[in-house]
Amino acid sequence: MVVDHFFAIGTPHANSGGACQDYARSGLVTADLAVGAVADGCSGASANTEVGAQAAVFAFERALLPHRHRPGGWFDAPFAEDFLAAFGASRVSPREDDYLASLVGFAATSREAAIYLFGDGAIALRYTDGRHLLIEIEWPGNAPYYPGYSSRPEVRERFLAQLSDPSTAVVQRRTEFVTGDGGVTTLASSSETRSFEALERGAVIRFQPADEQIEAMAVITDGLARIGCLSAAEAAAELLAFKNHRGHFVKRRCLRALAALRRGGHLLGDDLAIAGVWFGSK
Amino acid sequence: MKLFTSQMQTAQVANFTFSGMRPEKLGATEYTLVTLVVDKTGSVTGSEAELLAVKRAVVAACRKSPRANYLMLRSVEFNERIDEVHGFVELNTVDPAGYTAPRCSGTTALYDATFAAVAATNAYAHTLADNDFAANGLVVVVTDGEDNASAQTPATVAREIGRGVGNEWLESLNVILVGVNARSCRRALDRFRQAAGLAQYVDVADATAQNLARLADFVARSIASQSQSLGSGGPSQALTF
Repeated sequence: MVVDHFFAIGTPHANSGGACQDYARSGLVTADLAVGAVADGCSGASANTEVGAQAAVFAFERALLPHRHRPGGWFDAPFAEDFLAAFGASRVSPREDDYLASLVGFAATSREAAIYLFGDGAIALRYTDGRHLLIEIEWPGNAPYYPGYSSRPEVRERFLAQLSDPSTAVVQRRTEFVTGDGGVTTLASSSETRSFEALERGAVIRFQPADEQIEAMAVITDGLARIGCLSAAEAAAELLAFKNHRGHFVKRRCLRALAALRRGGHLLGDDLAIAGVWFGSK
Repeated sequence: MKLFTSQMQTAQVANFTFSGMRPEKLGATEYTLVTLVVDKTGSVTGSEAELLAVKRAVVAACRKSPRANYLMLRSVEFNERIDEVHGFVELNTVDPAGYTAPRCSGTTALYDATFAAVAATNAYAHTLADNDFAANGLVVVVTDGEDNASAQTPATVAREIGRGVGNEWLESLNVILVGVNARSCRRALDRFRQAAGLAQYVDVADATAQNLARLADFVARSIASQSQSLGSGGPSQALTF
């Protein structure tokens, strides 16, 4: 297995002298245990949410370490408690709004992979037969429930009050596609609603890479859907079109792909972060 | 010194062969492809030890560069033939002590050697680009005399220099021509620089230990500068010898 990550500032933040409010980290804990995470600071908060994005990623990493030896329990309730405690303890800024950030993280061996999603973001899989699967989590009004709300009961209540129906608040969309000379061809798409209650401590999605013949898996911030006028599936196909899988394979692909897209007029409309693991053969 | 292992691949460009590390064995995001092309014609006889010292000093200096992990080095010697000492390898795999002094003899195929170095850089950069690596290049050609044995011309060298950048395999390519003990042919070498579109001609004057130490320092600084320019969209500025 090889794991790597990449993040880049979007054009609006770059042009205004702002910070990149997305962040990513990845690494191998052991030869057969890869971890990675991305976080997306809320750009609508008029706050320094790059602080929250970094805090979320480091809190994820810190919370995962004690749970790493029990794959079946990755990201269960005790993990969520540890994550929120670690996140709450990360206080380099006194402003609560600086901690408004979504997180998508993973832990993976060659046989088991689990993804922990708190807020919004995307998961992309590449199968050995060339199929891709993109899973996106969307909240009403693009206003996700952030980990930072969990320790603020009054904010939770306000958030709940704004939801027209908490039992169907969140949409999880799945797009299965292949790529070819003609671009992306959708094989199947579906969406299902999920309740606020099911996601308010984070959502967990599990895969079996070896059994399902998954060769690559990536977690990506919602900047994926704001690369020029590409669809999220088209953007995911570009970012996962790895040519080789050694060392900084995600950085190489993203740098190359984004440069080519930029030349074609597709600019990063938002910050972007991605962390990926390669399961396939070397 | 041969660094050919199972991690290397060979390729044919025009009528010569070069080697480089297989891209699937590389882990960085970008590389500066550096080629040192050193004259081993009969007229260099007597300066072999100094030229060897230059090569060793360049490698030693580059290893201290903060960009050392992003440098790939190829070493070539030429007279009327072009001999690859080693192909494009990551700098940290080069043992400077493994370099040996050239056996000097023969005539000067300067245009052929320059063309071959640039063409190999282009071809290897093409391979890297196909594998998502960004690359730029620097070719340093050290000679003591003007061409008298080439099939290539300054015009074909100029075309080859433009090909890698034109095809976007290389972000930029600088070719520096260095004259050592070359006072008598300085004008001819400068004409070659102009006609072939080389970035710079540097006259080192006599091949004294002091001058060659300065040359090694200049080459190492030029490598570092070109490597630091990778990502900027253009080549580095010419440095003062």
